[in-house]
Amino acid sequence: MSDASEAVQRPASETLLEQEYALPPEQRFNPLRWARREPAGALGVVLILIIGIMSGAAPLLNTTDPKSLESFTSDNLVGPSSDYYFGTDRQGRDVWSSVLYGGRISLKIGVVTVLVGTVGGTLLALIAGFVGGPVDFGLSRVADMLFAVPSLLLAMILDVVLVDKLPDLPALPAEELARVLAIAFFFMPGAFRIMRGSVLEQRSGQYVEAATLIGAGQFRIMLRHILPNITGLVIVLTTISLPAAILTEATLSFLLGSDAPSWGAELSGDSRQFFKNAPWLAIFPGAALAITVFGFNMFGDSIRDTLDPRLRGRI
Amino acid sequence: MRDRDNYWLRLQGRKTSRRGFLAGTGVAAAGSAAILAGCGDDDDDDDEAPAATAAATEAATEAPTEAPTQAAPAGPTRGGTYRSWKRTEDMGMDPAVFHTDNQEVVYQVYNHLLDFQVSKGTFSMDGAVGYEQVDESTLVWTMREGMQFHNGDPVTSEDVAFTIERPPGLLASLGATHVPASTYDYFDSIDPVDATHIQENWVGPRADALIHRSRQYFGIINKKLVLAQPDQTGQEHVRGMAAGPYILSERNAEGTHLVRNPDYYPHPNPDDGFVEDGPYIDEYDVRIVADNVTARSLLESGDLDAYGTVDALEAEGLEGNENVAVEGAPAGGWAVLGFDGGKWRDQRAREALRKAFNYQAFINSIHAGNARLQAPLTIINTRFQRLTQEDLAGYYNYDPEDARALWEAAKSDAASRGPDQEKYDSIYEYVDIHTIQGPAYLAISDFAATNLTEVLGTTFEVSSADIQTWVSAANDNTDDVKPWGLLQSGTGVGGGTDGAPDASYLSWFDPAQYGSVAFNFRHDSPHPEIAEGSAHVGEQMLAQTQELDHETRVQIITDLQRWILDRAWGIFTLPMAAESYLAVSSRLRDYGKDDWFNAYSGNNTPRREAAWLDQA
Repeated sequence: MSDASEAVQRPASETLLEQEYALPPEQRFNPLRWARREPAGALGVVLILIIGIMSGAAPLLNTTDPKSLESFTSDNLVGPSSDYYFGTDRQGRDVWSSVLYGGRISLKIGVVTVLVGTVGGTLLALIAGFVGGPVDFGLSRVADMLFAVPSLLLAMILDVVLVDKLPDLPALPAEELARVLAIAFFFMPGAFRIMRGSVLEQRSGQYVEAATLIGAGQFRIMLRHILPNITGLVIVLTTISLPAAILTEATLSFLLGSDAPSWGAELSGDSRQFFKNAPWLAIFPGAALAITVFGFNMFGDSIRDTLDPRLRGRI
Repeated sequence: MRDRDNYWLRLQGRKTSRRGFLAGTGVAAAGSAAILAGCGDDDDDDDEAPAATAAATEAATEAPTEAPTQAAPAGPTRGGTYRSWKRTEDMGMDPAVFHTDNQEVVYQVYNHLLDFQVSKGTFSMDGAVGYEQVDESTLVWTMREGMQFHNGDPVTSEDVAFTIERPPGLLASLGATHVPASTYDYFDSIDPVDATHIQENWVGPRADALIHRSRQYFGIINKKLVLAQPDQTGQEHVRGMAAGPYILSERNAEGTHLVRNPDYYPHPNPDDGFVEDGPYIDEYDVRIVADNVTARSLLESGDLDAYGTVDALEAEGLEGNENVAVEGAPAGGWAVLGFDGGKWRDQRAREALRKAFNYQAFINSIHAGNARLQAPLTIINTRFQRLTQEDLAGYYNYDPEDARALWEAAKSDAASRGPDQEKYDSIYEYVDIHTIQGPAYLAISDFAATNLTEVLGTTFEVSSADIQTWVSAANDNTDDVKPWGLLQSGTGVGGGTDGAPDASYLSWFDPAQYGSVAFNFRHDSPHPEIAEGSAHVGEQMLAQTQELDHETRVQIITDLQRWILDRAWGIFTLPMAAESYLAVSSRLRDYGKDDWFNAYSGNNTPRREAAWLDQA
């Protein structure tokens, strides 16, 4: 056959394959149908979007930057009103502004942390699960050791130790970067352990044997065959880890404080002695945190059901 | 099959799922938050809120003890345990070495020759029954008879003479002590004349000698036991070291416990603060409580007798609690940002900082709109203060443009200096404001960092530490620059004065005291302008302490204050609250609220044997 005829035939075979394996329209992903099937997940998405958009657009929403001199006013501990939707704190700063700006930090650190923790854990799991032997043994024992250390304590120590040693990145100042790494380190052993089990399961699959038989290298098998097959679990792990990461960030901010406004920091320090007389200081940052975590929990759970229906309903 | 994919059908057939659990708790949390939010202030009174705050504050000031006084018995009753708190463990027990978090011991376990009532400017006799200023440089004490240390050793004139002459020796043996050298550097000799008289011979006149003698450094100590210690201090505090009204019975990580000294000497014809058969209270229990919020909860629940000073907003929050009495008192204390003289050598930089500070915003935000400007001598020391608020407003004026211009000019000159000067010029790139861990300290530092960063365009950041680490950082003289850029101290609400001008802010500028130790404004500064200025301040400080004529002394002090203000020298004094309050238990009586503000009367443990607890 001529080269030209091959060129004509290849698209035709691909078209046939596509036709054979194409999902029928009713099985393709349809957000509205997904929302009907998973209303709790859809509610989670809506909540996440609302919080995310409001935090992102904070400067446009009648706020004052909490890190500006302008934010300090003489309206100390004024309750919620049309001027101050969420009231003011001890220093006369607008709690509405603090909550929205605080959301930026909490969400940013939460998301970056989970990405770092999950991606790091997954990569290490791929290496350990596929290479096996001493590498697997070593990495698994390191993970076991880290599990043995109280994780919050470890994160606190790392945060304090790292903060003076890290550079300010364009979108991530040293303080936030230290917190990200501290929490990511906290999450990585868990992600590693879950993903390693999945890698081991996939490695014994027939498609891996087939790939090995036709001479595919280990690196290729890892990246082209195993990784795509565990991606669903990575996504599930990411979404269900996010609320925990956000809560951990809030915990660290509560315990260690934070230069930047964050929900956890707003619930600590000077504010606490006024909670009884000025409950809005606790309610609004706490509610923002609770709603965000609730949203991510619902979304993560629905994603898990969608990607792995066998787990549906299990605790 | 499609029906089984319906969420609601699945939900029906499901028991408790993880999602259900999460959803339930989430909804419950959000609902609770919404209900609690509804309990907050409504929209209608937002304009009236500051006025309401002020009114409530006034109410707290005027009638704070209404509830407890209804049940108050006719007179003092004996007994009970006074419960107080402190943040951290003490650094040591020797009154001539440490004064951080050990003041219940310093003032209740040790005794002094006399006590100074700052609010009245009078002395109350304690270990002494009198004194005679024989001439300008000779002072003779008459001891109270019958005093004995807690181990039964009699207190002799030898012990008292040893107590007074000991600090210079400690300075030599320990290398450093918090006792300012100016407190004792005028001693020529201290001689026990006979069993009950001690004569102090000075090299020259000293105006505040008596006030100094009431301070913690001169707690009467057992000479025999001190000399038996390896380092010849009372840091370990063996029983018998002191002769005060209480005996230290417990000292551990949870706090200290003091019990009444059964052999304490009587005070016939007692002066203010003492009673003949005092003290009335049986025991002291001082707990270590890490943070204010917990301590405040203890006070509110009736588990603490003294919380300490609070500002107007905190006072309002405590209003109406039957366990708590809030009383207005003269505002005391200080709030400062101390310069590191190693780095802040350029007067333009110091002036830039002073002009960059938005005083009104600070007063509004930190002191709820009610504060006063502070002079280099605290304004609560009224006997020596001649500078008015108008005078001070001429120095403390917010001018961000001028501030930026001065800062840039100083920065430009710094850039032209060689790399060997880099450590002295780091403030133009980054300034660390180092403060003590605690909400009020952090609020002040946070404001300052935000304000100065915004106006000067250089990053100012806050770092904080516990009090002991903070003290170490303040006194760190391993290099000729400090590990911090600005040292924040005080809240402008609590604290106070001991009545002597050189210990009421002025000591902070003194190159023989904090000016050198804490702030690097020293005679041997590597910067000639700092060294020369320090020499001038040192001369004037000495001159005022040696001047016995009050008006002349005040003139020296006023001139010195203007000199300091003209040069933005040493430390930057922040506005302080115009009003302050004491939060104590509703059962505490006659605790001497005005003299609580004596900076050296003890944190939450003032020496007042007339204080009593209403057991009813």
